[in-house]
Amino acid sequence: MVKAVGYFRMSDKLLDQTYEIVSESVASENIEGEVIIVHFDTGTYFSLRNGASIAWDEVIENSVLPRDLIGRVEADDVASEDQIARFIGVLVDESVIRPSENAAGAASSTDSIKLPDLVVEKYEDMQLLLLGDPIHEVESEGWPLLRDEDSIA
Amino acid sequence: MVSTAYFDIQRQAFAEAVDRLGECAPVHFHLAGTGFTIRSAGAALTETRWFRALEHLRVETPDPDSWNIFAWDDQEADWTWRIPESEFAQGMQTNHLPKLSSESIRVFHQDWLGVYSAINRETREAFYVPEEVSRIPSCERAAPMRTILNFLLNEKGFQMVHAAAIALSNGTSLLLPGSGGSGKSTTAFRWITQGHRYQGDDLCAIGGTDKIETIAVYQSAKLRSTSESFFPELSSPFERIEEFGEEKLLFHLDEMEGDILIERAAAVGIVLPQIGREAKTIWGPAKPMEVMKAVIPQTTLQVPKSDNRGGSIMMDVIARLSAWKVELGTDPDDLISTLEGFFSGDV
Repeated sequence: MVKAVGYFRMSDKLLDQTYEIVSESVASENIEGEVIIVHFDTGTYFSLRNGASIAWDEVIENSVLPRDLIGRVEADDVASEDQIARFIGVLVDESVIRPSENAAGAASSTDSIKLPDLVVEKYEDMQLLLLGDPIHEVESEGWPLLRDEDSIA
Repeated sequence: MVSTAYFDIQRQAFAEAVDRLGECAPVHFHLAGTGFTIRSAGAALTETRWFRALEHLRVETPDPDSWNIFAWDDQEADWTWRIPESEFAQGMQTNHLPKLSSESIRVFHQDWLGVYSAINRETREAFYVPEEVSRIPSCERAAPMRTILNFLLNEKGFQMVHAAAIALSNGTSLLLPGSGGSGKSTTAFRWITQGHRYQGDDLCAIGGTDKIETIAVYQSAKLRSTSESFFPELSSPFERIEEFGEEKLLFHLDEMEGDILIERAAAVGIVLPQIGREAKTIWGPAKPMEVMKAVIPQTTLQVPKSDNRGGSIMMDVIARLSAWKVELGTDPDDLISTLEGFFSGDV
């Protein structure tokens, strides 16, 4: 099941701080322009594409202040302050990222940037496997047969 | 600190087991650049040859900074292993016992296996204590101590994954992740019978910094008994075991003819196998998300999590290797030539 994530969490504060990955729970990679994020504590995973993958690289990997990124977005581009704030807000609420102690942020490039269509998709279809407790949530035959109709052996 | 004190208690438990049962000669191993020495008390563990699947990793001389893994059969030792009641109750909710664990210490009670495991990164010690070794399921005998060994592997940038790995004698390999029934073992056996090399049919390790390597952690191989007829040429001795209600044949590669096992190999790609119905093997590129879904969830289910290093290692591997989806054809020659093509880049 795919759930498109999208809701408003407008806050200036969101845009004026830097962020880091919640590394004890999350693994991520930008692979061929798609950022894949797996959250091992919630069993969810995410696909960030188009502008979202670029924004991820700038804000998370390069520690650029979101406000500085917004200042570089080309005038005719679809990304707006509102969309960047939503993007950050969703990832914070999903415990994928958190504010880092480096409030100043890295020196941002002055080059203009395009952020077309910030696509953030959240998936929960692997939750049973990612969170499956191989010790107790098993059929009587033992792990790795999970209970009920969700058996996966 | 609770977790450190807990290790002191278990060290004492091992000493008591040695007093009661005697200590076996230490056995030394080397895995992914890390040495470990198994020190066992009593005869029960040794008699069952419970670490036979690790024989290919044995070395004569221990590394100077080897881990010590203390092991004993708890029943034989008259129940020396101790878990405080309150922590045990809490641990029943999770994979490990968090109140006894810290950043450098992990304590697991693998209830259905009947095995306690504890690992201390700072002192480079681990404990492996089956409640009763004769009752250890066959899947654990084919791949013993996965929790502890994965912890050691993570420290070296490797992760144990639920996957087969097939290799060539030139030291290159392909990883075949997938759930049970996807064709991993059958493909691995087809590969072996063609004279090629092998690293695992169910669990192996992958990772590395400069180059991605696969590692044969276990020298065992399992085949469904229903697939036995596909391999009339297999004359090696095997043990019939039952795994999750299904009969399987358990082989040890040191009993098979030829030089089959290759301990380390440079990974050239990832193949996502799926049983096909056609004679011809059909393949196409796999998307990174498809590879992630084939590798990570199955692995987290098979190998109890220690910390999040494994997740990052797996994502790094997925990002750096080419990947293909393969519908395994029934024509063995076509299957093998397709797989050989992935190695040579000719597909």
